[in-house]
Amino acid sequence: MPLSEPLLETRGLTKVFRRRFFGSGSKHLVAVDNLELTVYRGDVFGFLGPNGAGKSTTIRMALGLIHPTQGSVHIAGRDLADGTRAALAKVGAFVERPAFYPYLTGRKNLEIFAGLSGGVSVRELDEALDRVGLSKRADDKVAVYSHGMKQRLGIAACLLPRPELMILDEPTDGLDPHGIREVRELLLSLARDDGLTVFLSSHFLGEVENLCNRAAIMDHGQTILQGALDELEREHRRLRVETGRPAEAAEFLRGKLGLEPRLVDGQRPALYFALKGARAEDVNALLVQAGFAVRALTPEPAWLERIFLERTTSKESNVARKAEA
Amino acid sequence: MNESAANAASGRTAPEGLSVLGGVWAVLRFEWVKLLGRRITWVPFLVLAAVITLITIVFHYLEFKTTITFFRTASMNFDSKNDFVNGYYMTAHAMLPVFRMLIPIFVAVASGLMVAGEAEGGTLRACLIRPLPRSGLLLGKFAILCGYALALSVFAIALLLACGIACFGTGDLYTINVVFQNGEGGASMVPAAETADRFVLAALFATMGMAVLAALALLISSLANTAAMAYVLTLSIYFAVLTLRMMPFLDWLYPYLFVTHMMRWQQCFYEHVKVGEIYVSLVHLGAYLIAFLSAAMVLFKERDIQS
Repeated sequence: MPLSEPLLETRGLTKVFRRRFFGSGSKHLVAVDNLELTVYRGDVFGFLGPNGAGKSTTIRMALGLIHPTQGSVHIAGRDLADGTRAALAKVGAFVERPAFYPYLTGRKNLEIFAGLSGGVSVRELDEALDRVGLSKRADDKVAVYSHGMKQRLGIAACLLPRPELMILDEPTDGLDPHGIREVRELLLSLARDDGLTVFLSSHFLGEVENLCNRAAIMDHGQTILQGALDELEREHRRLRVETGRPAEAAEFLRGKLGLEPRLVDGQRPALYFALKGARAEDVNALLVQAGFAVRALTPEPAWLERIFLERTTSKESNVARKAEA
Repeated sequence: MNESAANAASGRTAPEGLSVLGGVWAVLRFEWVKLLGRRITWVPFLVLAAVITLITIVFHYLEFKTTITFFRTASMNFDSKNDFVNGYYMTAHAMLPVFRMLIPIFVAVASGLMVAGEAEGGTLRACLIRPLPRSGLLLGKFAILCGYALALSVFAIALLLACGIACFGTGDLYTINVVFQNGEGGASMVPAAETADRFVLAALFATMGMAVLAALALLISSLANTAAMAYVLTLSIYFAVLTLRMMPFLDWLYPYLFVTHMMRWQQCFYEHVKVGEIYVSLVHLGAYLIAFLSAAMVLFKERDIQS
C-alpha cells in the first residue's frame, strides 16, 4: 500500500536530562537519542517500549511539553518549535493519564480544554460526549467518574476541536476488560470512520497487533524496529512446520527460499524458521509439491512479543541506567 | 476515508493556534470558573469574616488606655476610647495585620494552586498541549489572581467598615503615625468627609502591592512541582523580606525591598498624604511587578513539564 503524507515526524530528536541542583554536573541521561519517527496520515501507529525506554519523553516532546536538546518535531509539515504552537491545533492528546478538574462537571471540563484551543459549539461538545458514551453523565462532577469514564472523557477532550492526529499515552491503562474493549472499539472507529490518525503508546503488545497498521519499538532512547506491521510480521514471524523427512525438508527450504529452518526434536519433530518475507501458504504449497507431507503448519502466535522481549532490555535495566546517570 | 476527505465531506477544518492575547482571553474565560469552583477559594473569605468578627469584639471590650496615652504624647487629649474609636479607626487599624499577614498568605496559596497545583494534578500538561502560548496562559492566570486579590481586599475593607460603623459609628479618623510606619512621631487626623477617598486609595494601593506578591508567587509557582512547595517558598521569601524590613539597623536597605513599597498604602491615612513618596512606591511596585512577571514568563516558557 503506498504511504500517504507524513503527519508526525521527528528528525534527530534528542533529549538529554542534566543533573540539577547538587549533582556533579558531568553526568547526564540521554533519554531520547537521535530518534527518527514517521507517522503517516491515516495510520494507527503503535509505540512500544519497556518502562524507561523514552516513550513518554518522546510523546512529551511531540506535544511541546519538553524541549528537545536537539532535533525537531514536525506536525503536518509544521515545526513545533516555530514559536506559534499552531501545529498543536491539529492534535488531540493525553499524556500518562487524562487529567481533569474533579470539582467541575465533565461538560465544563471539556468546555475549558476546548476553549484553550479556540472553543467549540455546544453541538460539537455534545457530539464528542455522545461519541464516547458519556452524554448521560456529562453534568456529573468528574470526582464521581470511574477510571474508565475519565479515560473516555479524555478521549472526548482529544476530539475537541477537530484534531487530525490523536496522541494517546497508554489509553487502556488501568481499565477492566470491558473498558479496554470499549476504548479499543472507539479508537478503531475513530480511525476507520473519522479518518483520524492515531498514535498510541501501549504496554499491551496484543493491543498494538490488533489495532495498529504500523508500529515502532523503542529501547534506550532509540527505535530498534519501525515499520508496517504486516511487513514486520512477514519479516519476523516464525513458522512451525511438522512434516515427514524434516531434515530433507529443511535442506529443501534452505535451497529453494533461502530460509534457515531449525530442526526441533521432540515427540513431534518440526522445523522452526522465520518467514523472511515469504508467505506461509507459499511454503506449504512448495513443500507439498516437493512431496513432503505437511502434517501441521503453525504461525508463531506471539511474534511481536518475542521480538519485544528479545530486543529490549528489562524495566530494571532502564531504571538502573537512569539511576547510574 | 482519510482525515482530509472526512474534513472535506463534513466541512470541518482544523483550527489554528491562538495568539498571546487570544490565549489570555481563553484563560480569562475559564480560569475564574476553576477558581470559583474550588472550595479552598472561599476559605479566605470565611477566615476574614471570622477574624473581622473577632476584631470587632476585641474593639468593643478593649479600653485603649495605652493608645490614649500615646495620643496624649502627640498632644491629642482623649478622655475615653469613645472619643476616637469609630468604624474608620477600626478599619484602618485592622487593615494592618490583614494586608501584612492574611491576604499575602491567601494570594500565595491561590497562586500556588494555579500553576504548581495544576502541574501536580496533571491539568497543567492538559492545558499546555493546547495551541496556546505559555505566556498567554501565565498572563491570564496573573490577571485572575489580581482580580482575586482585589476581591479579598474589597471584601475585607467593606466588612471591616460595615462591622465598625455598625458597632462604633463614624467620625474623624485618628491615627498614631508611628503605627503606620512613617517613622515620624505625632498623630494624624483625617476628617470624616475625606475617609471614603482615603479607604478607596488605600485599597487600590494595597491591591497593587498584592499584585506584586502575586507576580512573585507565580514566578515561584511556575518553577515548582507542587502547590505546597510553591506557597511555602513564596511565603518564606515574603516573611524573610518583611523581617529585614523590621530590623532598624538595616534601614539603608528599606528602599530596595519590595515590602517597603507594598506597605506604603498606610500613608493614605496620614493627615497630609506624601504624594511624592506614593509615586515613588508606585514606580517601584511597577518595576518589581514587570521584573517578576517577565522572569516568570521566560522561565515558564523554557520549563520542561515532566509532572
